[in-house]
Amino acid sequence: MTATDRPLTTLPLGPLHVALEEPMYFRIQVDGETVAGVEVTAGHAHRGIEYLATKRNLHQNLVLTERVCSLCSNSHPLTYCMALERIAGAPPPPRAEALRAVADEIKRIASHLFNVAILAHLVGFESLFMHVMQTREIMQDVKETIFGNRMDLGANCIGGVRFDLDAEGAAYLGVQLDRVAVDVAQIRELYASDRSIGSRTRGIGILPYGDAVALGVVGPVARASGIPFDVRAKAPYGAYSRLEVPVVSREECDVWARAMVRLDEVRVSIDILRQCLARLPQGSLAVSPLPLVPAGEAVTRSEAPRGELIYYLRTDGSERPERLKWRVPSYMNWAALEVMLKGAAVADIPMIVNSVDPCLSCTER
Amino acid sequence: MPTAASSDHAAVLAEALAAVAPGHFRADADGKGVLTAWFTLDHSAHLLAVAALLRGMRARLATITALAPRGAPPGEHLLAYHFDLGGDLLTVSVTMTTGAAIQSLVPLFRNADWNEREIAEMYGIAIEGQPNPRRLFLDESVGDGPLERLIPFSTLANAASTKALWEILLAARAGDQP
Repeated sequence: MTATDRPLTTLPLGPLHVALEEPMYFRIQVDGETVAGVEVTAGHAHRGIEYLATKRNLHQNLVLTERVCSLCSNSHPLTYCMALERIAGAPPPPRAEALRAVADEIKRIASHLFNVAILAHLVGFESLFMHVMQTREIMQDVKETIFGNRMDLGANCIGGVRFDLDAEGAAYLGVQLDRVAVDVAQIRELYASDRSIGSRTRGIGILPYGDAVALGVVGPVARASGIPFDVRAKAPYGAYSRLEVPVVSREECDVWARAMVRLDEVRVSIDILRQCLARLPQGSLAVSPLPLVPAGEAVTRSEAPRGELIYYLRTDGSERPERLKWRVPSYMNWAALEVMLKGAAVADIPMIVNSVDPCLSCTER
Repeated sequence: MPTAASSDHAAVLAEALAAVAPGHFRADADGKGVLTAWFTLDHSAHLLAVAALLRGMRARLATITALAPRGAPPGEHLLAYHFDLGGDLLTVSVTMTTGAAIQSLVPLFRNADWNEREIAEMYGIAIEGQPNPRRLFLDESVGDGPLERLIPFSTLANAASTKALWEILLAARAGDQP
C-alpha cells in the first residue's frame, strides 16, 4: 500500500523487453504511473560457459571466451590471454600490446555508438538513430577490413596478436578515424543541446554517488555518477601504461550523463588509436615459442566497453584450466537499476534500462 | 618487476591484514605499477574482520570466485574474494571444509548479493546472514551444486522436450540396417 493507501500494482516486464533483445525479467511494483519497486530476475539464458571452459583446453578457451558476448568480444579473450601470460611469465611484445589496444578501442567506439543510437531510437528520434548507426557502420567496416569480421575479431592469441597493421592499413584506419571524429562531434552536440533528447534523459534514472559506490558499479555507469575509475588509467595493462588515457566522468548521475560519458569516451578512444598509430612499436607479434603454462593462478582486468572486466584463472599444469571465472561489468550494474528505476515514470523504464548498456550474454555466461 | 609504489602498497597492506587476521600474504606486480596481492586466511572465521578492514580502506568488492579444487575431498571449496583498492587488486582466499558455512559480506558490501547467491546455487555453499537468499540464475526445481554433478541441459534450462526427434532418428537408423 502507498501513503495514500492505494494498492500497488505488479507490472511484469520481460523476460522479452522493448529495450532489450535479450531476456531479463523485471517484476515492477507500480503506484499509478510511478515505479515503486523493482525486482530483477535473471537466469533465462544461462549457458554454463564457465563449466564448459574447464572441459576445454587452454587454446580452445580462447575461441570460447570470444563467444561470451559479441559487443565486447575482444575484451574476453584479451583478459583471458593476460591471465595465461601472467601465469606463464610470458608478457606479449610491445607491438602486440599496442595492437591489442587498437582492437579494443575499435570495439569500444562501435559499442558506445550502438548504445547511444538505441537511446535516440527510444526517444523516438529516428533520424538521429540512423545518423549514429551510420557512423558506427564506419567502425564496422574498419573491423571487417582489418580483421575480416564485423564482430568477433579473432585478434588475440596466447602471447600476442594474430593480426598486423602495415603502413597501408594504418593509413586506412587513420582516414576512417577522421571521418568518425567529424560525425561524433556533430552527434555529441546534438545530444548535448537537443530539447527532445534532454527532456527524456536529464534528471531521469538517477544513481547517486553513494549508491554507485555501495553497489560497486563500473564503467560509464560509475563514471556518470562521479566515480572516475577506468581500468586503463587506474590499473594500466598492456600498452595503456604508455598511452595518455584521460578518464571521463560527470556528476549528473542520470541517463543523459551516461550517454555523454560514452560519447566523450568515443573521442578518447579515437585519440588513443591515433596515439597507437603514431607510436606503433616495431617487433614481433607474439612470443615464440608458445610458453608452457605451469600450475598457478592469476587475476587480470581490462576496461571493456561496459566497464571493468575481471578474469580469474587457476591452472594445475594440465592442458585444461582448473577454474576459469570472469565477472563482466553488466553483472555489477544490474542491481543499480533498482535504484535508478525507483520513483521513475513507467514510460521511462526502457530509457533507464538502456542507459546501463546491459548485456545478458555477458551476465548469463 | 615490482615498482617502488607497488612495493610500498604491498608492505602497508600486509601489515594491516596481519593485524586483523592470521594468514599468508604474497604480492606480485607486473612492471606497470599495478599491485596484485593475495592473502590466504588460516580460517574462514576471520573473513568478516578482513572485510571490515577493507571496507574501512574504501575497497570495492570486485567479485567472488568459488571453486572445487581438483583432488580435494568432496564438498570442500576454495572461495576467493577479489577487492579493488584504488587500482591495486587484493584476493582474499579461504578454504571451506565440507559442510562449513561462510558469513555473508552483504552487510559490508551491498554488491556481494549477486555473487553470494551465485556461488550458493552453483556450488551448494551455505552462506549465513544472506539477506536475500533466493536463486539468481537457476530455476528452483534444480538442486544446489549443479557444477558438481551431471545435469542434462534440458533439465537445467527447464526445457520441454518430446521423444519425437529420437523416434525419427531411430526409425531412420533402423531403415539403414540391412
